[in-house]
Amino acid sequence: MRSLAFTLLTALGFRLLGAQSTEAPPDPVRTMAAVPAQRQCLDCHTCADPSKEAPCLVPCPRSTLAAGPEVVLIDHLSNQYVPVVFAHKLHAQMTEMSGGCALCHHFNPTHRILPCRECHSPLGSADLTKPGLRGAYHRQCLNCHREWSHQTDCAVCHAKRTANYVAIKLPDPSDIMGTLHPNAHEPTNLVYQTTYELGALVTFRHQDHVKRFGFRCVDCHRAQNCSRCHKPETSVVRTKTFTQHHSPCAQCHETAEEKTDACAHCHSDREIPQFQHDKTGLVLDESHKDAACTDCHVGSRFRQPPTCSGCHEEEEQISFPAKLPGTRLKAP
Amino acid sequence: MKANRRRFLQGLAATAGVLGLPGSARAEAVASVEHFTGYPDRFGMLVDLTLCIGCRKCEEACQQTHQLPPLAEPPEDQRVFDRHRRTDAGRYTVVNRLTRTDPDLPPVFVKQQCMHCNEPACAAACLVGAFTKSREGAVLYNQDICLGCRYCMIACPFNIPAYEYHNPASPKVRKCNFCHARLQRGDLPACASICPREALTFGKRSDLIKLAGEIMRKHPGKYQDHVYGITEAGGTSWLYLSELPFAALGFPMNLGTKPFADYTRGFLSAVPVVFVAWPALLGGFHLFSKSRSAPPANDPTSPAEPHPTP
Repeated sequence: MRSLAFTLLTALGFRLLGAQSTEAPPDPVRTMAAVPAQRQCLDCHTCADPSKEAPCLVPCPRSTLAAGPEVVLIDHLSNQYVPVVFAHKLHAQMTEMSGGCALCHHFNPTHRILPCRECHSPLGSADLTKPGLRGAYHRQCLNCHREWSHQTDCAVCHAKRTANYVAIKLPDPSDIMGTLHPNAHEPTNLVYQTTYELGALVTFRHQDHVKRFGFRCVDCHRAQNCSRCHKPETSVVRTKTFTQHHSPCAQCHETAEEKTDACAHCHSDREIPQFQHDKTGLVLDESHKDAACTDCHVGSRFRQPPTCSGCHEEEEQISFPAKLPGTRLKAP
Repeated sequence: MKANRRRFLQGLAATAGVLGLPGSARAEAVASVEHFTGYPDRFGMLVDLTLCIGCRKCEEACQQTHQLPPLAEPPEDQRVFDRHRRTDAGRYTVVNRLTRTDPDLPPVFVKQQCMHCNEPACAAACLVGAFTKSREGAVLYNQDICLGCRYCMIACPFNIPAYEYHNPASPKVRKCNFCHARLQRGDLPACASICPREALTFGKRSDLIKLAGEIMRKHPGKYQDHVYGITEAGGTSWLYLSELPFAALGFPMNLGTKPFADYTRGFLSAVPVVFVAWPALLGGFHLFSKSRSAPPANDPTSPAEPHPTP
């Protein structure tokens, strides 16, 4: 079974590599009139025989579909307004952390990404539940933009084609091409203020985690709101349960169990300084530098002495902290 | 006897004429307060207040459609929201801003205009029947028969009708007419057709009530568990969905679910009885008893009453 899955995945990988090398690069500027290219079944399904009951869909087409357009020119009402330059790629990049492509391309069928206009008619629709194209655009864009800027001026996006309005300078599509979202500010340490009486402060070593474990942003930052970064003070604080609060840490640490004495491991009345492994007595030298934490700290139980015998074939007395452990490694 | 009754009814009609109550207008006014379940296909508007961003495009479109003076403050001027405004003779709709207790949250905007009640209190209060509820759902005003008494302004639970105080020669009552002319052409009301976020959904009132339920089901917890206008004052054509409690947004919450016309219907339907049937009945009794007691004049067969001798 496992080998079958492996074969399929490999086949998929090769197919994708092939597709990338042979297909013409997508047009970076797409006007809304452009038609998306034909797709293969395996673009969206991970198995060879998808069924209605088990469609085995990839979670988001971003990984298999050719990259979307860099810039979309919204030019339906070009007789009234200067076209709106929508930096699609910049937005798409960030949706990885906040709902994926489906954040905007909601109710999208699996075979291809539909432009808004295919469902939302520029003339409005008889179906009251479905807004017209203008409503659809404005509902999508302003949901986030207004949240942090509080700006609802039409001129923020639209320059009107009349003399009465001062023409604002719009970004040239070629200025935006190839630009990526600026790197998010990455904190070294984060100190959370909690409501726990015995230790209100929790120090989270953000940089350590990212570097040490090679996390990608999306590994932890999922379903996040744009205003979390763009205007952090307005980001909605939801009341979470105990489990929800601790779930990001509990994935690796066994500390977040209710009614254990493990609270003090993270909760303290002061900010905990940067952790230095040297101070524990074991310098992470050449031979240990590349080991994963859990190689020694089995089961992520950091408070228990690590076991050396997993790798080191000394007399079973080797333990840490003590003398430096033995030098002979187990024969492979 | 017959000649007497005819004279009496003529006199009554003359009195009514003096009072300025032409029979036909009076009959319409009475008809407009009679209970009816409403035209089944009447239109309405669903306002989703969570979508309104206060761009005031609806105000601008309203001014243009009704040939009203252009907005004193351009739509992009946010300072206009610093004070609470209400509808007046020069603007049929206003959008007001309500700031949240948490200033970081975006404010809430509330559009206000005639609610086009199912059984309008203005129509019930009008002496001459200048207000009528149209088949499309609009509450329409007829300036040709309006007396200028402004009872409608007092009767309206939403404080909507406004008076042209600046026009002493021929002042008129002014309010939103649901763009009745546009509806008859098959167009949307001006405000709904311009709204960029389609916060205003125009449709049959019965469909909009279903739609409101559907929206609330799709977003559990987002909206107040109440659609303002379904039952308020007997129901209105304009319906509102909101995230915040309607009371906090300044919506009157003490209107009950009974049409305002119902409160006066009992009394008003007794008026014709008291003023028409009672005098006729009592007058009839009087004439009848008079005719029985008075001797028939110039009847030679009856014995002459003996004249008292001086």
